[in-house]
Amino acid sequence: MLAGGQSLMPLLAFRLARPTLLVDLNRLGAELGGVEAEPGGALRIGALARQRAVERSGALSVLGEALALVGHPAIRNRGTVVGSVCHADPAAEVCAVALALDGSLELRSIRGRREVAVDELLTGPFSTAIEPDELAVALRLRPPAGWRWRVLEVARRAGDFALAGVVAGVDPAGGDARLAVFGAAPRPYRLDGPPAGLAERAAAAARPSGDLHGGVAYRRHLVGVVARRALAALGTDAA
Amino acid sequence: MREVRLSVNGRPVTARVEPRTTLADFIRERALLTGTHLGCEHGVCGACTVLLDGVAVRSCLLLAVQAEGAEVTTVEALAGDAGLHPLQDALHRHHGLQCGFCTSGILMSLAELWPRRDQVSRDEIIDCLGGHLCRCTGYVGIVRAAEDAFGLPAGDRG
Ligand SMILES: Cc1cc2nc3c(=O)[nH]c(=O)nc-3n(C[C@H](O)[C@H](O)[C@H](O)COP(=O)(O)OP(=O)(O)OC[C@H]3O[C@@H](n4cnc5c(N)ncnc54)[C@H](O)[C@@H]3O)c2cc1C
Ligand code: FES
Ligand code: FES
Repeated sequence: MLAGGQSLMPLLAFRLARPTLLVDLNRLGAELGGVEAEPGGALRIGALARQRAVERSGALSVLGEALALVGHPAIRNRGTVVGSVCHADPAAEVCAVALALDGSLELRSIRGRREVAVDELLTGPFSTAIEPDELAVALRLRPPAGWRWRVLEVARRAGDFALAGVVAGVDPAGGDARLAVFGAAPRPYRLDGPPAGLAERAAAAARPSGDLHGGVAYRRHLVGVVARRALAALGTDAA
Repeated sequence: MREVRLSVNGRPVTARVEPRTTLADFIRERALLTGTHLGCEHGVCGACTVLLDGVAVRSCLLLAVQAEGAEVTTVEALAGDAGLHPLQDALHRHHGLQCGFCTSGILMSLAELWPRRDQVSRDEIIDCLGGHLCRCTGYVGIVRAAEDAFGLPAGDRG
């Protein structure tokens, strides 16, 4: 399945993926390109909604903030929000936003339609519970009313994948918070609870893999740093 | 093999290509326009950036068959009878290029912003240039050229 091609085309170029059949979705923009606010406060993002269009639409500020950190403008001009979730990169900002906002993916096949929570969907690095015959038609995000959010990451250069990053949210009263951590484990993970101590829990839960961009201890340390900074920026006394 | 028809810089181009042919290879080998450069062929360097219906895209990450019916604009379209495009002229004046390998991609990314040049901020220019690797200039001249062309004051980061 070829959506924006900003992950799949590099995989093909490296011969890391060798599909015998490639289905291009891009002529389905009219059917799959929409972004709609649904009754009940959910936002439904169609499979061909481009990252850049969603970022600029202002439909959801936390998602816009996250998308601004994804690659570069020319990448986001083609890349889709849904494609990022299907690709399941452990460092993907969009997957973490989807996890933080109780996201779910709407999947269709000739067998029917099903909705899978992003938390169940992401089974590991670059792997999901999407069956080979299924097409993701939309991502549904459920932002809780009144919450404020921050997205923070540390990357080697602007546009690079994060060494560690966090989507942090706090409820209107400031007593409840959420963290979705990306780039620090085989898949993004989420922690809920009072802001105090949450950043430390996030760092303790990190399972980063070390590579030439940063070792395990450094990346674990970064999780605590970005989590504390994000919570502090939201006005909590997490530090 | 599939027949692909598209328009490059206003000129119709039709060619029979394998479905796996990238738009970049189509532009260089079928439209015979070699101003579009290929560096990494996986989306990172930005050298192959062109406009697809006015939108900046990596031509190495698109298949030619996907561009069927589209209008593709490459660096060759920028200079006209009146001489260099203002973006090219600014890069020239500010020493924003040395070998020129990265230049056509940079120009096309900036060209996407050109139609709304009055509203373009410095942050947007930096975000745009951040998608391009230049191994020669150290970027200072490129940033200055873009600031100048878009009528922005020179920023303190050079
Ligand atoms: C230079 C560069 C920098 C990047 N930086 C970042 C970054 O910082 N952060 C980040 O998160 N990403 C980054 N990316 C990846 C980018 O965000 C991709 O757009 C995204 O990961 C995949 O979306 P896509 O629409 O391009 O999907 P594609 O590349 O088309 O597809 C990716 C995978 O998802 C599957 N798929 C896509 N859509 C569907 C669907 N509707 N149903 C079923 N399966 C589907 C495909 O089959 C494929 O396996 C970068 C890419 C490049 C080239
Ligand atoms: S050649 Fe396309 S981005 Fe490098
Ligand atoms: S001028 Fe040589 S790579 Fe930029």
